[in-house]
Amino acid sequence: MARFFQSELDELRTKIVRMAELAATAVENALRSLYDLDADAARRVREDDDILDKLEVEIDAAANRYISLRAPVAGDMRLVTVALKASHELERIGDEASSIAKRVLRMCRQDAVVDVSEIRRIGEPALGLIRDSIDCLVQGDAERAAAIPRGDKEIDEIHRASYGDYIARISAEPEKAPAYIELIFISKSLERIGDHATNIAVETIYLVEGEDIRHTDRTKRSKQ
Amino acid sequence: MTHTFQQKAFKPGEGADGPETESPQPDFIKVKDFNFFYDSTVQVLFDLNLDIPRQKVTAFIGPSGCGKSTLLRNINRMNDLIDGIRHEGDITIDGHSIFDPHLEVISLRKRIGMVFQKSNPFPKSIYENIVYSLRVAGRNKRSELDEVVERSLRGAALWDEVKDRLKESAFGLSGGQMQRLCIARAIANRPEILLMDEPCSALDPIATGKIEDLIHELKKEYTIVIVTHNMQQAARVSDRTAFFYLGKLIEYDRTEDIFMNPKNPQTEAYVSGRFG
Repeated sequence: MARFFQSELDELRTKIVRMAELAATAVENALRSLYDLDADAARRVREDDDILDKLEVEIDAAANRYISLRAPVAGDMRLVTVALKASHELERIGDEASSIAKRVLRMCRQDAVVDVSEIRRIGEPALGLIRDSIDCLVQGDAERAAAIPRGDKEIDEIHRASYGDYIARISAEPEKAPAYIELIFISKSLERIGDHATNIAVETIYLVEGEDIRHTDRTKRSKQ
Repeated sequence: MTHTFQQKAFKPGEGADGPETESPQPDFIKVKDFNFFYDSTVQVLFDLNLDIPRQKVTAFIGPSGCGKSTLLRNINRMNDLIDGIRHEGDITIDGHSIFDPHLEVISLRKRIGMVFQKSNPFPKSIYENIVYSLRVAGRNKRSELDEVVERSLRGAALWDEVKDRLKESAFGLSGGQMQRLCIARAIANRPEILLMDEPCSALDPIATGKIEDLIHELKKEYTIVIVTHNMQQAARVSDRTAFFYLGKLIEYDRTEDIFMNPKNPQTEAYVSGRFG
């Protein structure tokens, strides 16, 4: 039976979905601005981050209101608490995208042409992981969500491995060191984005199964 | 009230009063394959099986007519007063059947106090309400009665409010006080079990809060079974919750599991207000 307060939960869901789409798009646009060294595109990513920030505040307000007025239990309670946590993760993903865009703007000013193939290697799976985790959250797919931590581990390994390559390139082309340092930070941002995708996946499992797998053997196993 | 994250210091062995981690409690009341009929054809309870732990609060929830009060009233055999009833299966307390033909119902009811939806003080003084059952049993020694009155009223968190007017009529008390008087009367004989049938439904939120605090205190000494339509009350006061629908036990689990992660979709629909 649909009750009068159902629309409030639906609205909360809609805001999360919108925020998720914007966060994934922000990362995609930030990466494209890097590949194209497109300063205008990078600026737009930074401007659009405000929308994510506002949505996070709106979701917090809607969730707090729902908790106060509707006293949710069971699945409703999990939806509201997951909305609060997921919105924070999505806002952080937006911040990382904005940080990547900020470094692209610096690289544009430096006018240095550098090889970004290492960023492509980590960027594509990181973007794929966000899209997967968001898809799992929206679809309520705990089974697929359980595979996300493994993808995050692969991203961590790519990030670690690329660090040595950047050091070698800085030694070989010292005049491009500032640009390569920006790429190291961009790689770190993408690695962090993988962490946020994992957190969203863990929240999805809680939403669907009611089991909090953080800091448990199940989390460790899911990374193997 | 403003919450802070400041850590409260606990002494060794003293726990924070947070979510209850249920230590294994021997099951005290056992309902086994229980069926109940109001006459030979009208069955109202179907194949009920549940174990109620000692010194815990167990809440029965479910829509009107689901059988929760009927089961509650079977525990002290109040339904015996209705013509034509019959049952199948058994209910045991501490391993002994309450339907044992050798058992005197009076002795069973001495072990079980009951509190009803509407407070029902006798048309007597506060003092005489408490000692009524003792006088019926021929216990009239003043010092004993005084001791029982004070202990029971303290136990029901009413002593400080009425100690100076014990001889006044119970009808002069407020609704919440009358209900606590009935609780005091129910515990005067030191029962082991307290059955409460919607004890707060006629009370305002302040009186309700006092009764709920009282239930939390009383479970240190008594095994409490409460029927309530107030979902938040079940969540606040009980350790275990049983959800009934159409005379069947749909789900019975730790209260936090029922309200955070119920297994049955019917339970979820009911506790989240979407039933029907």
